[in-house]
Amino acid sequence: MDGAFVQAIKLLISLDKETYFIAGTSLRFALSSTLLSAIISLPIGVLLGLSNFRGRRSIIAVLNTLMAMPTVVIGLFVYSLISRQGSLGYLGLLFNPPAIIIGQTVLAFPIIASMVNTSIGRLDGNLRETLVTLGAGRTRIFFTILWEARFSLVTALLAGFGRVIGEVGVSMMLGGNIRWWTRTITTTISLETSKGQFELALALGIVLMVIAFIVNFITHWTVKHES
Amino acid sequence: MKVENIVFRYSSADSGRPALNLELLELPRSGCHALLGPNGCGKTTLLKILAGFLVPESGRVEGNEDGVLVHQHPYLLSASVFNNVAYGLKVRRISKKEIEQRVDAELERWGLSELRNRHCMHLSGGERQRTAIARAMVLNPAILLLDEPTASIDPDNVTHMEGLIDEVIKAGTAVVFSTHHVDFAYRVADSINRMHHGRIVATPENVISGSVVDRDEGFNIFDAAGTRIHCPGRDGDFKRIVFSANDVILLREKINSSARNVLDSTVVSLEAEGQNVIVGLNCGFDFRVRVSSDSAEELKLQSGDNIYALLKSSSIRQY
Repeated sequence: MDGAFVQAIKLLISLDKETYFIAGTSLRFALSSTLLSAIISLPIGVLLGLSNFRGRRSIIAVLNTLMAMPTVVIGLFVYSLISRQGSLGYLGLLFNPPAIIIGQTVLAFPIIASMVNTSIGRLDGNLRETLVTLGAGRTRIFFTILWEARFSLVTALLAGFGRVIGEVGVSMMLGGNIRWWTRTITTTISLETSKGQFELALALGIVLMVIAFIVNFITHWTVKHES
Repeated sequence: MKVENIVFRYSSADSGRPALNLELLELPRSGCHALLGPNGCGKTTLLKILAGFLVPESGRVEGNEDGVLVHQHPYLLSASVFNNVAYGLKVRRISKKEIEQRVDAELERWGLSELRNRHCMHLSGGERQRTAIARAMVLNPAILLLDEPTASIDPDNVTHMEGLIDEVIKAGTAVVFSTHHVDFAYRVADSINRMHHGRIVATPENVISGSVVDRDEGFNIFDAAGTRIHCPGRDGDFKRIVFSANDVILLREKINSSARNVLDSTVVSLEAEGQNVIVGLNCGFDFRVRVSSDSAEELKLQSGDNIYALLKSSSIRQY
């Protein structure tokens, strides 16, 4: 095992092409799905945080439940949609990068939407009235509110990113762990470990730890800045 | 501004007493008008209706266009003082150059020039209040609605706030403010609207502006439009005197009495009010007196009559 660790370090230092390709693929998928999820969940989170319509509480309860949904279950749902027999099967997405991105977007959505709702709800109640009285229109109000909650929003996005970069269920079920195509950090670790080949798994484990550290560092910094 | 037959409840499920239930309130679109009353009496609700944030379940609001509300604890954007004041102008897509000129002039007017680039997080309560007022005033609103303007500032800055409100009125903007601070309301406002349990309580009071010009034999001599009124001798820079319409006695002929003030007046109006008559008088300034219908009949009061009004100095409050 000690030898494997040394080998792993060597892989990282020697800028091994496959190691960094896999890490790059993981980052690409995670960033794309976080961005897509942000586009969907920001307006929904703001709407939930600002308005008080009938059914709002139920939606928040559903989001909170979805936050705890196992990744394999989400993988299964999306699989049933995009597999050959599924209603979106004709798009041929299964075992291709878009499949993973869709699955991860679904995974990140409830986390980001729920956290955005909480952070918008925590903003001063006078903010919206202040913007209205100063003559701001709906779009302006939306973006000003996002700006006012920017530190909390960054935290929400990082939480979503953290969830998808470290997941294995969605990537494995929807991506199929295809080399040089849909293989990600977590699916590689899972596969290599089961094969008893620890070098690449350890090297990618270290990369994942570094990413986790950076995400945590930024989260910590934004929370500190916010307070 | 006119508010007519307004009923407002915070929750439609709340069938109890409404937060606001006003038959009629008229406020001129000039000068300064106070909504005075204890917490929970509906002052803020009324201001929010005037600002258009709350929609009453019935009734009409007229003439409240172009009003800007400044909250009790104003929300300042997480930005510099300059950017806060500039916000309303940016929304209106005014050129960058004009924004800079107008904001700088506004900062100068409210003594905020030195804080121009300071982040709002680092402002004191008084500075925040001034920034919020500057942010509203840079838009040249017709009406400035202030919710409890003295609530988030220390007592030393209350006089400063009086000066700020005077400045707003000088700029041609009408001010409507809510407060539970009686002294502040009387010192600043041209009209006082007392509120209780969501209603306007009729105040048969006369609020007269002027200044203390002399102190004599334990009395303050208050000059109001050239008429000198003897008031209780108290220290202070008083701007208003207040006396009840019920505390004035009307006489056809001048008599010697213990009352220090005998005001040679002219009857300008007579208005029936149930069993009473509200007599409008002028003795250099306008004031009102409430007498019973029988007394009005005995005195044979008519518009244009000359009459003496007796007012004890001890009935006068000074603000």
